[in-house]
Amino acid sequence: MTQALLQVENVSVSFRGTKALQDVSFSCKTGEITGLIGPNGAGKTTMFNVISGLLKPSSGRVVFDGVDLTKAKPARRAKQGISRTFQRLELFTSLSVRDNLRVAGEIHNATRRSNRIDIAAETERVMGLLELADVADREVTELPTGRARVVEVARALMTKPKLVLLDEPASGQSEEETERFAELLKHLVATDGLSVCLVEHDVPLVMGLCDTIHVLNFGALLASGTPAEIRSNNDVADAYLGAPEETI
Amino acid sequence: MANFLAFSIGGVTMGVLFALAASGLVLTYTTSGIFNFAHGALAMLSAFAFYQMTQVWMWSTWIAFATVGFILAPLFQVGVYYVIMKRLHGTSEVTKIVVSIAVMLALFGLAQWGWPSNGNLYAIPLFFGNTAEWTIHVGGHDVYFQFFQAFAITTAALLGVALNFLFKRARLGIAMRAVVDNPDLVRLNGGIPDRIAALSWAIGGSMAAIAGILIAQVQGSTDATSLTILLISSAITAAMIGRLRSIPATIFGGILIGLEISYFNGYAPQTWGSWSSSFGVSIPVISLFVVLLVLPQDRLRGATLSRLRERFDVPTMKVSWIAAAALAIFVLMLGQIMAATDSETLAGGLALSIVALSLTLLTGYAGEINLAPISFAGIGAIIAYHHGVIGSILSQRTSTWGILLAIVGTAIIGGFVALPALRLRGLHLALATMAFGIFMSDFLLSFTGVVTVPLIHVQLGFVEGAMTVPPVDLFGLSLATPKTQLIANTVIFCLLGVGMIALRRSSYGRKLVAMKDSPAAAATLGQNLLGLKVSAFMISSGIAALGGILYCISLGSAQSASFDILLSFALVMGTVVGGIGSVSGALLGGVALGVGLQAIQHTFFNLATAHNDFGQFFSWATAWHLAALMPATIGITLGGNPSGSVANIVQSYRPVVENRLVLISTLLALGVTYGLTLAHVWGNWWFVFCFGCIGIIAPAVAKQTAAAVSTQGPASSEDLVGLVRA
Repeated sequence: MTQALLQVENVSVSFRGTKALQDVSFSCKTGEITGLIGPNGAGKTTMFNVISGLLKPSSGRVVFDGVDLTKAKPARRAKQGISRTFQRLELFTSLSVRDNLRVAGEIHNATRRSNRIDIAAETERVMGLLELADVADREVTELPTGRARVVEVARALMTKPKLVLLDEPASGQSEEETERFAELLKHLVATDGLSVCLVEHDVPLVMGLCDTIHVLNFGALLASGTPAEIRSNNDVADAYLGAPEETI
Repeated sequence: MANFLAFSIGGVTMGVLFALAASGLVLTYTTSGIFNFAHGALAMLSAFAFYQMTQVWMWSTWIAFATVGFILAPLFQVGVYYVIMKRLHGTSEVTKIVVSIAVMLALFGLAQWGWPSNGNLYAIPLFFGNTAEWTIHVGGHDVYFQFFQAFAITTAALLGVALNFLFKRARLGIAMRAVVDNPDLVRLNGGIPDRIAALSWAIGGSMAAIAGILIAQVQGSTDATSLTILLISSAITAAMIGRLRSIPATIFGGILIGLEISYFNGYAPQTWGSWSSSFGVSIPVISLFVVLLVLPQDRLRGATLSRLRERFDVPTMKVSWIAAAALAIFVLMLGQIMAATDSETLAGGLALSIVALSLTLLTGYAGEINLAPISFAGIGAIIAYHHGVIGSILSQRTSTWGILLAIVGTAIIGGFVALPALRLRGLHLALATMAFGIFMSDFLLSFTGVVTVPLIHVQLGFVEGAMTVPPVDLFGLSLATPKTQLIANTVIFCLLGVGMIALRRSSYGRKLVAMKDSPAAAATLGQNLLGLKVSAFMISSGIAALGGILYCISLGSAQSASFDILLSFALVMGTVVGGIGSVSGALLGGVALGVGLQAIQHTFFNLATAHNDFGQFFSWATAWHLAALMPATIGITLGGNPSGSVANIVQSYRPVVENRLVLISTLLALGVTYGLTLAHVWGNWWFVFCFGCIGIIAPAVAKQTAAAVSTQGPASSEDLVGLVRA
């Protein structure tokens, strides 16, 4: 039985009276890929913002690796081993692809006494891993969205995270690229001891990749379970506009 | 009680007028996304136009009021929108701010030309006259309620209600707000975003004009500088209290500031003397600072646009060393042929360039906007003046240790100023630094006399209204003559400039840029943004302090006006025009302000003394104020070229460098020109003229040759080995 790396307990968030998240609890286990799915506006990105510390929940707790991080700033959470990508790209647009990775490594090294990395070597390794070597010296603004998302993933990996939150990494990527990306994620989880929490609209990808899936709908947790359980869950089917089972 | 009532009536009158000006500001901001710094200046200029019509041309009051308020001001605003603001889509916050500041400086320059301040005050009588009033009996005292006050309050109230209705209910108001969110969507739905935005700018202009005319009447007599500062600071503060979206809250804010000023002026003890009048002027900006600090914090977010039009390439270290050496040699050669006074002027310009370097780091790299660089420069100069001067009266010097002390001291002060401002970004930070700058120039720097800050025993202030910072003693090496100062300033600028590029290429520089591009991403990677911002502010303040000291030395004697906030605005503008993200942009910004402006003003001034008799129609004596228009017009062009002009200039000279023949002949021609000047064959004006001609001709020739080569078609491999030609 793998233990929970991240535990989100009873988190609620409201924006001016609108409840974006209501009393949501779920967990991500060490060495697993956890999926977070749901229709548009279900609160998936809001949940990522709460976990990474960009948004303070009005109630509830975020516990990571046994430490209560509810009140911690984003930087402290990163130090604990949480890293993320953004649905709306947040690349460092004045820097080249290589420097985007490099500065992430530099920030990592500057904030840690142990577990430092060899920045130059790690940058080349991660770029090789994610097939970015050919665009290493390009400006990130020149890249198509799909490639730019990969740069975000690469940057997130530079800080040697225990858990990486991926916000729609496959959107903008071709089917073939998505498949390669899925293989890579599996490889990273198997060899690097990485845990992943994935928000994604590409349902086949999520179903094929995740060990556990949590479904959010209108800010509330609708269902949790293995892909097979989620596939046979009627509430989930209804939430996706009563879509027939096969499309989920 | 009677006094209180009178102060309250006065305060509310003033307050609703502030609110009126502020509401216009909110309107234009909500509908175009541009925070119009020129709004207060338009109000000021409207007041002077009204003065001209009623007091000089003797027009009827109401016709003048309607002409300015409902025709001239709205027309001006529509013009500004179509010619300037419309083109700012896709530019960064700092460019938008600087462009509207450029418009403000232009309006200010116009007002200074038409109605110069130098000691003159312009009186605009009240509508209905000073004695048209009702008398109210309160507890045995008479309280007067002027017709004017009733008129002002009614006008403001009616306009406020109408605007609020427009905003909240009317179709047009909703369309206006939609334009900001997504102009393309509005266009798809059949709206015409430009017309809607232009209309809101017109309405905003009317409100500014009405407020300006009425406030000028309350002031009684005024000049352009004080009226501009009052209108800008109070309108902005009220608008920020309304958080740039709520009209009712804006009106509340305006009244609050009006009452604050009125009560302070009414109740402040007479014994406070000049102190209290300076403080009274500073009330709006102090309120602004407080409001910005207590405003609810925006969530961390990245750049609002993923793809800005601005681009700054970072030169390699080799290139920057070569450029620095070239600049040093060039200035050294110039120094040989220049008069001592010109050397001083150029030295001052380079000192301002050093101050501008503080912006390169803070704004260009770290993305934090500072609108008060000159204030930090002033703090540095004051510390050096009070604590760094050594030697006897006749041979006073500023010691190196004194300069270091000033740099460190200013850095610490910069850190403290930054601390409360840390949670602010973009426009809010710009306004907070502006508030600090106005507070410095209107309050702290206007003390004539030494004030010792109690706990830390630091002396502030200008003794006898002026401050003479003696030349530097560089560990025993005296830099007393203008020429040595020029060389010293050049070398310091070059070293700092190279250092700045090294810093940008370092891990620290990348972190700054990362924070600018996406604070959210930097934070989630583990970056402590707080520490990074404070350090950037501190380094930047230290650089500004060094520049400030050198600037003061080149001035000879500095007044408090030498550190005016308007000078800060001009420097920020010049630097953004040059290119905020590059060292050469800082060079251009500083030199443009220190040398260019002075040269233009001197030329006009000389013309004025030579041709005094033109005065009837066109007064040369005040025309030099028009010089302020020139940098402003350059600033206005930023919309088309937001990365600054240096990048363009460098680009245009690339063909020269690439074409060896043209390069060598250009250098030869320059050398001959310089030699002739050095040998006194001709004067400096010829040198400047020939230099300019060569500078214009060389790239054109190089371009022609390049074009001629390329029309021959791409060189094939046979061509290269000579097969074809053979």
